[in-house]
Amino acid sequence: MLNNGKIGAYPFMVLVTMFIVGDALLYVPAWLASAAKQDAWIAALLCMAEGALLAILYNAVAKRFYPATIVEMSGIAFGKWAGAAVALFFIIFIVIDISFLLMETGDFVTTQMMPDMPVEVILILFSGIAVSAARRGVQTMSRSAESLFPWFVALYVIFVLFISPQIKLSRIEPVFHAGFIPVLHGSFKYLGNMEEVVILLMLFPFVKLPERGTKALFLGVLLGNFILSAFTAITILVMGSTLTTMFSYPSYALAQKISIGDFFQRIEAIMAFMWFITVFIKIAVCYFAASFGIAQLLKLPDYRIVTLPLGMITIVLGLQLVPNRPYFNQFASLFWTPYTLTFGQLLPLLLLGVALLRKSVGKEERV
Amino acid sequence: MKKRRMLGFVLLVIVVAVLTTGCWSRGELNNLAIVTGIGIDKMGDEYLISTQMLNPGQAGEPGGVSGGSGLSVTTEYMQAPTVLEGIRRLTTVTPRRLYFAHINVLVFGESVAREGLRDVLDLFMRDQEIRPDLHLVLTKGVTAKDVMSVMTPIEQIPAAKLLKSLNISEKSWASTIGIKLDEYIIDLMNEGKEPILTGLKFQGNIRQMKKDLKSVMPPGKLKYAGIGVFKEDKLLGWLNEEESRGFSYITDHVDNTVAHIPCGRGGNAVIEILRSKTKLSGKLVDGEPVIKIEIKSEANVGEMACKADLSKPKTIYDFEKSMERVNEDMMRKVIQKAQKVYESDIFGFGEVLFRKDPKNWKAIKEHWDEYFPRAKVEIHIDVKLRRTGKIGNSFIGTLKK
Repeated sequence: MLNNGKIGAYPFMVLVTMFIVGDALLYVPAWLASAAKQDAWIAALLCMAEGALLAILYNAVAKRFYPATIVEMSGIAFGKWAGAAVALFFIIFIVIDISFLLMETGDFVTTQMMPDMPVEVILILFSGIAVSAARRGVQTMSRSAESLFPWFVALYVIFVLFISPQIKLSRIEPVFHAGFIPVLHGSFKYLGNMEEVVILLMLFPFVKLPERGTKALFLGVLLGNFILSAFTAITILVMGSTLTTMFSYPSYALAQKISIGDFFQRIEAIMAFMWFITVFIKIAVCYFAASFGIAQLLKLPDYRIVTLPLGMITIVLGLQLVPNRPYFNQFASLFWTPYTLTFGQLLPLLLLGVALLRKSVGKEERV
Repeated sequence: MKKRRMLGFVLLVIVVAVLTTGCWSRGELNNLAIVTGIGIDKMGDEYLISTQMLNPGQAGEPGGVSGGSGLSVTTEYMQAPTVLEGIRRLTTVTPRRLYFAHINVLVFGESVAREGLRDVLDLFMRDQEIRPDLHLVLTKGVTAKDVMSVMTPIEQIPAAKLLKSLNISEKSWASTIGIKLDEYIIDLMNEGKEPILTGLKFQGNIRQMKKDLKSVMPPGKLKYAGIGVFKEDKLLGWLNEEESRGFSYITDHVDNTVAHIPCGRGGNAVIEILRSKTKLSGKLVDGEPVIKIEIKSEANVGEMACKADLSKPKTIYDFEKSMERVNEDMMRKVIQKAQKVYESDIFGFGEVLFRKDPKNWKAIKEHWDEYFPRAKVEIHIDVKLRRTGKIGNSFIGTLKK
């Protein structure tokens, strides 16, 4: 087998949580607020429900086909050639996702922290770390996630605690003033982010006990969404929807507002680490998923030989995919969700449908 | 295996080489000029940008103003068609790169505020070095350049003085309101509310003031003087001190303030408000906006300059009544001025309607400018006097005449 060690349920849950929070922490408040205005927090809650449903779907697929990854699943369900084509598209989807994630990191650092720094340098450094994490395998990644998780939680709690004195309840009034449509619209953008969880199905076979793995996936999705929802609510409560929509990175602007007693302030750069932690885990997981998928597809003896070239490809692809910031914004809000729906919703549904129609499929794999 | 080691080694060398050169966008302290305040005036078609910078080596030293080799700050100014160009052109004067992360205040000259702030504010939201929590201040009757170029006693850094006295007078006198950049932008963008900024004027002789600061009583001083009323981003006019304090009450900016009330036959008692909470609510009644202001304050007797008998609870109740009347009067005046003179909804009554009565607000929001001047305002004040200070009855009562 290609794998290198199994992981427990708790590390997997942490991995799922941090994967969901990932890059979304910086963007989600603005996405939700741009459509749902002061009702963004309702949209976030709605997304929590959507997330739970998605998790149930993924769990059903993962359990049915255990211990197959998505790449193997499509081979089983759609046959050799069609399955390979589906798997190829799925891998391309992950690669594109990595490129965007890298560019988001690069954009963030060059916009908010080091404007004169060439974005390529950030991409190379960041993908270098993520690739090296992916090369060390699932167990190492999940352990590093496990050890980084307390730091993330600590930073998050400090952030929320220290910004909460500035909360103004009047910022979310009037509740539900424009009805349900804007709320739905807002949650639609967020959905695109959540669909990416399907990538984690590449890692699911590494979980020791599938029964507990499904539980971990479900809980991880809920926890991740809760972190994002609470964060969105706080952003709206402190800054109001107008400013939240205006800033490219509302959470960073929010961190700039932290000021306790006029001396505990200007700590936004520390707060940014919270985001670096989660996005690092997300990118590393994606690198692993993509290279492992390629290895399975091409029947390579070791996935590691793919990781380094993949790292180089994603850097260049990222630079090509995102020529400028408005392009990225438009892409993220118009195309990303429909694109992810293909793989995050349609593909699992198809897999499950085929499995149900041909009852034997999937079952016999469990030897 | 050897090959892989070699590859790893080469990579390591590259990474180390990249990392050890330091980071991009670094700012060494001896290459930075830390800007503490910026002033912006309009000069014809161009802007005059004045920046006040710390003089390294002087700031922080005791007696930096009078003793030693120089002043704690330096102000340079530059004219340019846009703000950013002005700031960059300043490097032809300053030996160091200007560093903006520690700005205390952004001062707008009356001239630029009258024409509208829209063209000068964007930069301060967009630039990554500037935090959205810097304070905005207006000048009244002087230019921002003049404000930026006087030294101030007590505080060595004039820009820090501006910020501190803005905050302290908001806390203990309630005639000023410290507005931060992001708050101003919110007021500007939200429907049903017009922004305000506190005004700063100069008292005394500005020429003499610039020359020296060697007298115990400085020849002139910077003084906060009332609140500037905006319509969108354009300055319309000013509220006087009393109206500004009324405004603070309505918008719940009062922490602590004092006011005198008539007492007995000729004479005053001063009431100190310790805490005050304002609640605004509103709805449309028969298509006309009705705003309800509810204020709950707790207060002490601060000073007695009359013979009233403080040992009787009735006196306290009378004081409460007259304090309520004084406050209501103060608020009525500012509402009157905003509704009839400026026709600008600086209180955010429209926003209150939007929050509390969103359905009806939708119908009138396009015509809010016509509705606002005739909006009915109900004021309910509840002042509770608690204590009378270190002494009970004043000695004034026992004096023979």
